[in-house]
Amino acid sequence: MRRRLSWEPAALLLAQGLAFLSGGTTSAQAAQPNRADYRIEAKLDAPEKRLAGELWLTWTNRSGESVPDLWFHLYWNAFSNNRSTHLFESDGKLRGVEVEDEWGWSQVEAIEVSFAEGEWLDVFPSFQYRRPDDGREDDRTVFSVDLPRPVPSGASIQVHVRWDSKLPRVRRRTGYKDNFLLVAQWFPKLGVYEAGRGWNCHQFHAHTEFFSDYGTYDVTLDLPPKYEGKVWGSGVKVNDEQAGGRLRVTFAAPGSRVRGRPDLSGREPLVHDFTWTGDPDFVVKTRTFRFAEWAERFPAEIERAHAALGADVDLTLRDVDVTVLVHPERDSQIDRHFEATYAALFFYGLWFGDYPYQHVTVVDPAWGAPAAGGMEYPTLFTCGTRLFTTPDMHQPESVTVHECGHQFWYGLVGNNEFEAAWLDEGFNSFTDAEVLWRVFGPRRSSTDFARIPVDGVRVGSAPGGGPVANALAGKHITLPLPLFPDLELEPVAESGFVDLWREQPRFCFVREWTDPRWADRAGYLEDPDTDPIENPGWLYADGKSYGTNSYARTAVALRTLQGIVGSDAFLRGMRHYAVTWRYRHPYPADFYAAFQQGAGVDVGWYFRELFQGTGTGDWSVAVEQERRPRPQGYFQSEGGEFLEHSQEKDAPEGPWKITVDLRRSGELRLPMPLELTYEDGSVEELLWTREEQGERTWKRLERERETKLASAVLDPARAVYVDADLSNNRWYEAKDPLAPWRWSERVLAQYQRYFHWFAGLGG
Amino acid sequence: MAEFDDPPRRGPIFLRALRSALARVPLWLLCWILSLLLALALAAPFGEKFARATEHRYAAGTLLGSLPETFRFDQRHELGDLEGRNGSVAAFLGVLAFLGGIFAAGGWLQVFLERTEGHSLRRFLWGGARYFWRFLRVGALTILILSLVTWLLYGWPWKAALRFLFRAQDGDLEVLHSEWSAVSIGWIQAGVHALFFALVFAWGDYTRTRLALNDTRSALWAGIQSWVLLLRHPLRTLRPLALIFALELALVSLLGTASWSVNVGLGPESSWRGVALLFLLGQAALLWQAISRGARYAAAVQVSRALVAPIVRDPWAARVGGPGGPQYPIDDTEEYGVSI
Repeated sequence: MRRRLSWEPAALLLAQGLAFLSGGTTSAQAAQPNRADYRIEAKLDAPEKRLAGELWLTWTNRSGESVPDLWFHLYWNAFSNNRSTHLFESDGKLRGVEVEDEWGWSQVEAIEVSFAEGEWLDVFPSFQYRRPDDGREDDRTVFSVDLPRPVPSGASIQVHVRWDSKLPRVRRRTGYKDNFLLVAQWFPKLGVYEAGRGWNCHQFHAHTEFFSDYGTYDVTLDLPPKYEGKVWGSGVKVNDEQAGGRLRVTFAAPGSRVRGRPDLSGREPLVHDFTWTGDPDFVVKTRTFRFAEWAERFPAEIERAHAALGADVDLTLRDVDVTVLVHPERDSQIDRHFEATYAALFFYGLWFGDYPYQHVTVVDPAWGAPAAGGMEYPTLFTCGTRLFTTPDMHQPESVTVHECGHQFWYGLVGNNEFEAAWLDEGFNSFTDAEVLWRVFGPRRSSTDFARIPVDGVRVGSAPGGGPVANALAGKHITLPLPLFPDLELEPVAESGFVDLWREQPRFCFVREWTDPRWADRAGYLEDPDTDPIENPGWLYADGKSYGTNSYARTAVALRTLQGIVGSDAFLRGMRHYAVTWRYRHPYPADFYAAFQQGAGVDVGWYFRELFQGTGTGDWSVAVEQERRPRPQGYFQSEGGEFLEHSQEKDAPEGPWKITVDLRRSGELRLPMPLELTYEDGSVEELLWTREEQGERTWKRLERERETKLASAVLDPARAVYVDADLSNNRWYEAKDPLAPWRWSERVLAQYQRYFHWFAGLGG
Repeated sequence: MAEFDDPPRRGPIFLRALRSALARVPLWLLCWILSLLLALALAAPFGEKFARATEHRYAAGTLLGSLPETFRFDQRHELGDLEGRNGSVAAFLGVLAFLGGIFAAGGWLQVFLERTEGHSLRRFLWGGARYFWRFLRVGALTILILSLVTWLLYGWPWKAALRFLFRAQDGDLEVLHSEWSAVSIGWIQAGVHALFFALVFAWGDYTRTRLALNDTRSALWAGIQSWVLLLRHPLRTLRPLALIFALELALVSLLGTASWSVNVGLGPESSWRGVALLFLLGQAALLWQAISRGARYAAAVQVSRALVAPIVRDPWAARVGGPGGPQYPIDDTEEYGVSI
């Protein structure tokens, strides 16, 4: 809802100005955002899966405008039926599962407000559902109430809400599975009011996440006694006691040790959500992240950060209590959850500023609740793993680092996940790959046989493919017989141990390693040009485009930016942005401005092309070289006479004529270093500039040398991750005759074993 | 096939069978080379395409250990197209391999039933042709039985059992309380499937052996009789085959471990020796598996001779004239009787 500006603080003007220069949406928030402090009491009726509660919200309006109404989210109504916007957009499925039962809902029973102590005004009569995005009548995930009088800027209002709800089966992040509870987005949550834009309170779409104001949460839960010692939530657990046959657990987020105490940003730590979890089966372990231990392991990283940020910057990180909750069958992976969490706390803290809270909770979802996994909430996050993994498989390491990383991107820097999900997902994808690479190295691939991961992958494809090929391979044969018109036979079904014997992986598989940084590039290039990165979450062409742009493409764009401006400037820019916008709601233009300010570089062109455009680029190099022939024929002397050149037997051959062709396709123009290495060991370094690329799409270099060119390499540091095809970036004079044989041997071994097995089927 | 013609028994059946098979070098070499030639038809184009795609583009040695992520992604179209084609071609060649296996079964059985001394390859080829259509019918039965096994263990009956036992809808194991439960059920399913698979292979061996031994035509009837044989004498019939398989498993595992060790050791400094060793280790395993294949038939023949009652036939019914006079063949076989 748009409203006219009543006045604009200087900071807002500056932000708007920078945004104008850089393009893109900008934050409409004042230097201090609004604040929402919650006190919540809720009671769980476990058999009925009913959760009833009351909340008291203190909302402080700092928008610069008077606000006449309040808008809230009721996220669980997305799971109330199959006509909600969420289920409609996901074709009735949640994480691939058709939803047919175990629905959830939220219903507000009463809502009143108070401007002054003790005076409560009933606003429930003005309750109405809102559909600001698609007008879908059946969607009940946003509601509003009108206030008796507007809340002026700078003032606060108390809101008391009483509601009832039913937990859904956990299919999209929140709900239950048996006794396991992951309770997220569970209370009527206020939207975010933005000056000049009104209430930013979107419906719950299939591909969007969440956005709310920062504040504090004090939550008391009334639960069945079986959850004693096994309930954890955002912030810190204050109390955990049995009373009257029930369990009462109290949380404070942030915890008392940090509440009210400014951190490195000069602001007090706040959070913008509260989530809790419980399972009587949890194995609970608590340890402490200690910066000193990690500083000792990675001294070079400390040095590098100091070199970029300045020797006088205090990079010391506070100790953080970490509680890991795993299920019993995975308790052998507890240490790995700790290691990955510590890695994230260390590196993200080193680069983007100290994790300001005293505690973080790490949750391993129950079996059968994978939809609860891989999600972030303030000071609590869920992971997800499986049996039989090893650290080099990066499971649970990858998801743990990623979700812990969200404590920084989204948790501390609270971007609008509806409208600019890439500001946290893409930033986090970039950062988690950097952490994984430094701490855990490349990821090793495996192939499952009967759920046992076997080292390696196939080189060739298994027999089959289309219907005919599958029939010939015995995978799926359809026999249109008279009595059985659609008789389907599957003599060669997928079956772990039989497959293992047939495929003989030890003879034909290969080890496959994946650098997580390059995996981002592969993700980006799957869909490089459908939508720009900067796009509201529900306006991407489809889920694939949303995923690509929010995650991989942003990560790749950031990594390439790092290559262009240099890692020191990049770190300065990112840290400046992270610290400046801590506990605030930045928009894309805020990032562009803050980054350039911190890095001290002007890369507005880069943001326009890479973040707001859909251009792609492919740079290539090709080489031709030949020896000039010995001189023959008549050459004109200085006196003008033509003299025949005498051919001496041992006259040296002519020099090498070398032609190096650089080409660019696509819209992107990025500075491209080129390194020419000659067989005598000499090296020539050049730069193909943006300006040159703007004049024409190719550049030709010609050389005459006594020695041949051994190699021509574009982007030797492999810093340009957005390059659509890296195979044409390098040229080498020498060929590798062994590699084709090496890989053909694998293909031969694989198919030979298939055919031996098929022969055995016959006899 | 008079009993007094049998050589004196020395050692367990499976060892004798292995010795018999091992002694027939041209036969297992022939079986081995069939799979090699078929696989070459797929590996050669792959090698050529790989060489073209990487020529001058990758520094020497950088693609020997493993294929980097950037390579896999950048070459995905080139090699992906090839892989797709290979999948289809491999399916077709798999049918040829299947038919080749049928032929080979007939060859092995002919050789072991005749107890040939020399001319094994000729008898092998002759036997393969002789029994081909009968064994093709056995192959069809094998396909049907395996499909039935698949349906039992991966289709409706299995899902019904899961629904009954665990209230799992459509085989969804997420209703279980733990991953270990789901894994255990998966292992039971895969394990039982593997056992049934092995049993069907054993059944096929004995069915083919019975057909050859008694020179009968009906694959279905021989198959039924073979099931009865297996049920009545499970130990005597299955033990030799199981022991042959166990030895095969042990040798293949050993060679596989060595091969994997060589494989993961390949890197930028590796030479032709490493690749050649990989190839040789793989072929050694396949050669032994070809020998084991033959040994299974040798064992099946020995067991069947002891357990399968011969069909009593009038030896003179197919001959012209009666005992005492010249005998002339009236069918297409080479054999004809000479009166004494």
